[in-house]
Amino acid sequence: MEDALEFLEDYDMDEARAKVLIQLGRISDAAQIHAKNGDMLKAAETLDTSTIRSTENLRLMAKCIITGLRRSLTLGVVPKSGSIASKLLVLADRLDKNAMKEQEVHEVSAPHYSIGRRV
Amino acid sequence: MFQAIGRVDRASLRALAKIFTDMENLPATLLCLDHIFSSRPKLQGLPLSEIQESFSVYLGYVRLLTKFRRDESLAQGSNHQRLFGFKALKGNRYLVPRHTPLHDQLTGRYASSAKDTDGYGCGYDELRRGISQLISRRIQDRTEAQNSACHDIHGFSPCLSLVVEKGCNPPDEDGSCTFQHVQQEQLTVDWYHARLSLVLLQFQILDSARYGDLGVKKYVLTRSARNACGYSFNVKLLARDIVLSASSTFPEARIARESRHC
Repeated sequence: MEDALEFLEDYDMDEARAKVLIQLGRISDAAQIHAKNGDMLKAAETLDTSTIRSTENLRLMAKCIITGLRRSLTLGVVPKSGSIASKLLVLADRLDKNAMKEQEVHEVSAPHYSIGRRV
Repeated sequence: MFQAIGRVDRASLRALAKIFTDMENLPATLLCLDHIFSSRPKLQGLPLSEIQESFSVYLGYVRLLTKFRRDESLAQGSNHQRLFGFKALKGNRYLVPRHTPLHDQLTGRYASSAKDTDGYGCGYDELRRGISQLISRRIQDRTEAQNSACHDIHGFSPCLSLVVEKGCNPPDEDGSCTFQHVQQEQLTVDWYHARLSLVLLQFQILDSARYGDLGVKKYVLTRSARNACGYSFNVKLLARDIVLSASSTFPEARIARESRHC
């Protein structure tokens, strides 16, 4: 199997390599490949499917979601239904805040302040 | 923040804007403020203190936009790059992602073609100009909306008929008076100070935004706005103008007049 992975890497067949890594249970490595290619949603989804909720996996998932949201929700952009941003926001609900830095928690979450206050 | 943006939770965004300001995270602060003021502020029926707070937050928003407009750095990791999400490529080239206001600004709306599936590629000068134009237009549009909201609150002008004649005959066809109905006993020093600071705050906003539309300025104070338009705004002169034009009902004006007679 290692030979197969080496072959896929030599020929830049990242999608196939990620699938093989998932079959081998190396979820984190598979997610890293998607993240390296700029597909933060796929990276986060891959990590979300993992049954192993290690701190390392949770931190990586948070990093992928935040990076993806920073790229998609720029100035003047509103998340539309079915968009990458809205899918990332669904995944963000499942993040473990204990595995995140304070700044990251503020960037992702919506603390519930006095609801109904007008601006 | 991102979840608050998704839920259009303006109360949370307002609290987060303060947190990000303390953390000196300017792109995140501006993102929060931009979503807070994405629609015309609802000021009707609010007490003067809350309107004043809203104006202060808006003034901070305009100042931050102006700061970003002056910032020249477009490097990877710069405030602009984090706010607009473009990629800094080699050779002073940049890739602006599709479906963003900056992309629309640079290419013209609906101009995205199959050719630029990755985004729109441009150089430093073009990107700087696009960002500057986008921010300028944003300041203009948002300030117009914020200032027109002043028309709803009736907080700037008390109904003089009610104060002087103890009665009001609204000239409007629908029978509603366009001025604030304040009873004579409520016209205290505190009320007057709150109103004065609200007027000055709004002038600060208009001055920061370089907003010179006479038709909109009338909501604040027609005479002063007319005098102020066309040249640099001077807060002290306007403050004096407001005080001098105040009715004798206002305690400060009365005290000033009495002291002159002594």
